[in-house]
Amino acid sequence: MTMNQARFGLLGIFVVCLLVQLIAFFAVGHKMWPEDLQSLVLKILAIYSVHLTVILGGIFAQPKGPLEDPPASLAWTAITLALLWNVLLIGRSIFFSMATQDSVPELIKYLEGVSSSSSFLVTGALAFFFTKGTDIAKSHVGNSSAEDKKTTFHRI
Amino acid sequence: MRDPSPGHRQTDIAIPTATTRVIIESAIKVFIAKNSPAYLVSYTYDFDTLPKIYIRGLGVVPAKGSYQHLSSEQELEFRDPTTDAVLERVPLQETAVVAAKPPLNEVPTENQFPPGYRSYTWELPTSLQERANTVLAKYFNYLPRESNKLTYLATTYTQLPLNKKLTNSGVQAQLALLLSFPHDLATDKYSFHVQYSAKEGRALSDELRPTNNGEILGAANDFVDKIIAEMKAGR
Repeated sequence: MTMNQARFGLLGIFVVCLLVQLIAFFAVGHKMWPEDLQSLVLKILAIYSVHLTVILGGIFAQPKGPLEDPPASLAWTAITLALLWNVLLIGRSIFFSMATQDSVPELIKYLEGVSSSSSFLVTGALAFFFTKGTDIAKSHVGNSSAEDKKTTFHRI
Repeated sequence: MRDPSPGHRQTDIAIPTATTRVIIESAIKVFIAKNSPAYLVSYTYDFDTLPKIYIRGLGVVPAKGSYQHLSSEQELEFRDPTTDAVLERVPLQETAVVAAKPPLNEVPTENQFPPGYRSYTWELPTSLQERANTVLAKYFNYLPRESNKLTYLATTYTQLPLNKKLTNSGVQAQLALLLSFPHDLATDKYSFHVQYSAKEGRALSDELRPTNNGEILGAANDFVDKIIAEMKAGR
């Protein structure tokens, strides 16, 4: 798996899971007070904003040139951990949207608690794939301009 | 709504209080508002030498009977309505302790009920309190109180049955009643007033709000009619 495949894979997981939860909340929006829907949407956006900031920041700040591919096992581990973190959130959100009776404050409490206490699952992987791991492939660095080297140095 | 402590473990700590004429079957501590403790008390009494007796809070009732209601007093007081002599004073002591925090049986205060009321005539030989106790107990707990020669029975909130269209769209409602009597007192009949407080909620939200929803108010009127019909039917 190339670095870009891994990075866009991680981006896809986070974006899709965020969208699924937003759609789920809006689909049952009539079963809660408008203020509760607003709180829920703001909460889920706040939770995902941390990780999506790192991901999008890493992508947009990507230096020129091909990136060094990560070890395959590392990429798959990162994707699995990202899926696990998202499943913990999306699972509860889907149950909430299908429930005949539930509580928005309880869901918000769950999302807050679980997202922060399980963030260790994704923090390391995102740091590697979107900051540390953005080294330009050595073969390319060898032929690259001084500007490219400078960029790589600063990224590290 | 009847179960005062769903999901709470209880521990028996006392033998029910008993005198010769009054037996307290149970007295369980509950809250009727935040920081307002009360007892949910269930008792039977028998003063067979008298035709009627007076129970503080409930008013004049038959000399023999049984009631279950909320009480914010520390004792039950029974009097002879003709001489006003105290027949019995029974202190309320918990017969069971709720292991967790006592449950909330919210009873709205009288000014939380909208002033509009529906008036009904009571001309049955049976006591209104007795019938109200039997019928209300199916749906609510209630707190009796007397003021200005009127007896008020304020109930806790209970789930209001709504039509499928509303429930499918996640709308829920709760209803509490306030019965007051006797009004327009005549020799063999009087009228009683029923006020209600309806609250609207959502299936996925905790908060309940006062409502102006016509369908909910219609359902509330139907529910009140059903309760009054049951009281008058003597079933």
